Amino acid sequence: MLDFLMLALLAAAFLAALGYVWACEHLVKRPNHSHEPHS
Amino acid sequence: MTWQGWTQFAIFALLSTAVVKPLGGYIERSLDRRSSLARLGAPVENLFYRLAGVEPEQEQGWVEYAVALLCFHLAGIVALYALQRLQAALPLNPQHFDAVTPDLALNTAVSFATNTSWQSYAGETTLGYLTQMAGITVQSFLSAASGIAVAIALVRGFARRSASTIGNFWVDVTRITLYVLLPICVVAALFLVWQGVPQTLHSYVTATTLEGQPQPIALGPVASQEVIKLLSGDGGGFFNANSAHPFENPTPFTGVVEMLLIFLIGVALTSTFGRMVGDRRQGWALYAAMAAMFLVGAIVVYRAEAVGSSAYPSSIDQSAGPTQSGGNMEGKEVRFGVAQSALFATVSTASSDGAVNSMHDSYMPLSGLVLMANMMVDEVIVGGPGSGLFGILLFAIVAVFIAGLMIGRTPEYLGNKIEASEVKMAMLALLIVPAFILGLPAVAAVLPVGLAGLNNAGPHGFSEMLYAYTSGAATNGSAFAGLHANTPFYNLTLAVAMFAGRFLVIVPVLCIAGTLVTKGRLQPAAGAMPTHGPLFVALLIGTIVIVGGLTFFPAIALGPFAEHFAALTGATY
Repeated sequence: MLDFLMLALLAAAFLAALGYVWACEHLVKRPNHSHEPHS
Repeated sequence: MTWQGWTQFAIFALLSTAVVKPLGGYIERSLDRRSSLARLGAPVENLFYRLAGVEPEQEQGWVEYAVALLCFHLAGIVALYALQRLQAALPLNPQHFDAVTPDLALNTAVSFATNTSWQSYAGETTLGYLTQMAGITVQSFLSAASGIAVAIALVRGFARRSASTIGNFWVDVTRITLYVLLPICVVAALFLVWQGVPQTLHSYVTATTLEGQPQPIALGPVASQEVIKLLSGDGGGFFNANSAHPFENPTPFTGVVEMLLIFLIGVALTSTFGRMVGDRRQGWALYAAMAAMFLVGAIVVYRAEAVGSSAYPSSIDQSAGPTQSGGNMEGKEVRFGVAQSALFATVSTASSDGAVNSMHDSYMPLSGLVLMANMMVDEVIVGGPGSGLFGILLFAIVAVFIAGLMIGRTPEYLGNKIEASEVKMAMLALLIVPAFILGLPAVAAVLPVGLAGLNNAGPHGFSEMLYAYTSGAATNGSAFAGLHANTPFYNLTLAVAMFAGRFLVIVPVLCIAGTLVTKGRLQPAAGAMPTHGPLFVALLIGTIVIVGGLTFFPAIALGPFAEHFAALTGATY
């Protein structure tokens, strides 16, 4: 029973890491507006 | 402090510097299969690819590279977890050890797959030979190889122009394991066996003590594990006493060689970096920054330990002499004395290795501060294999960004324009570790399950907790000792710290590699800041010290600083 709990924790951490990859990819894909003139 | 002690420091510094150029060049050639050994091993390497279905010519973008790395280590964690849980039914367990408990097995599996090697267990009373060899040792190889692979991928990001790929993870890991780690380990393991380290599958032997009592003497395949423990930046000992045990570190000679093994790949990769970016001075600049920070830390620790403690009674002679090394010898091996213990402790914490030949819990508060600070700055002072190089390159990105703000120019590094994407990812990677180093002790300090693990009160007790999570999140693995960490609370929270400290840093590093590799090279401009000279080295060190200082000063003030000043008034904990 505890083995399933440990492996579930590991699976959750792995999925979170994959989500983190996705988040990083989207963070750097966002267009950079920092040099656009301000209104 | 004695001339013998300083001589050890000088010999170690010279040896560490001497290996940078030849080994750095060898690693660079091995990655492209240009070294003699790599050409010789090509059929074996190709066989691995065929068996695994890997196309070695097919390179990956950063997302593919990161996902491959995560899947690879997930499989490693599951395999090591299973080995520990099933070891009672598996062969090569002559002491008939039971299965490791689930929370400890998870902690240990994550620990070795993340190149941390935090150990909440004593190896000689917990793990069978199969678990040590097929589990711990294999993960030490693979976690080191993947760390080096990530660093190389980042360097390709700096070196390549207008490309879309950063290498092939499977190819990088295979070549680093076969041509870099394995050959060094074979030679060094034979050296350790010559010096007296056991390498056997026989069960433990029983000796009779002078009092006539039976005394089991633990043995095992120690030499083969000892070498990769040091070379990989892993540090997880076969025995609980780690490199203080005479079967792991039998002589002062092995002590020096073990320290060199810890630094070997970390220092050499600066040269590999310089070669790959086409300007070797860039590599030497990084090495100079690492060496300067390391030497300052080592001297502070040596001095603090050599002076000793004013809290000892005056009847205790702490002066150095022909029959004793003097200073604070609590928790230290008489064989190694103060100088080699202080040097080993600094090497181990600066390098992400975490092996110990003395008990850090017994160090003077200021020494404990340096050992913690070495880890808190993301282990960029040489650091682990690969993690040290990519760590200091993250700080280099921040340093050129700050320099760009000061002089009003777009930041550049190695002909690459450093833009918002790279700075955001660098800051993410640099801030994720402090979040866990500071957040988790804060939780442990207010929960009864956290406080129950302490063996000391006051600031020293807080240092024990802070050190444990620092060691975990910075993937060092050394223990301050004094903390009873084999509880579900500490096993699971430390596993979280290690997982986050490794993979949540590696992902943004690969992301930076992926964004840099697509860019074209900027033409050198007269106003660009040179990054190979003393000015940049000073700026880089300043950035590391200021970021580290601002982030961790409050926590350090509550731990080692408070203990240091309390000790001046005679209070001990």
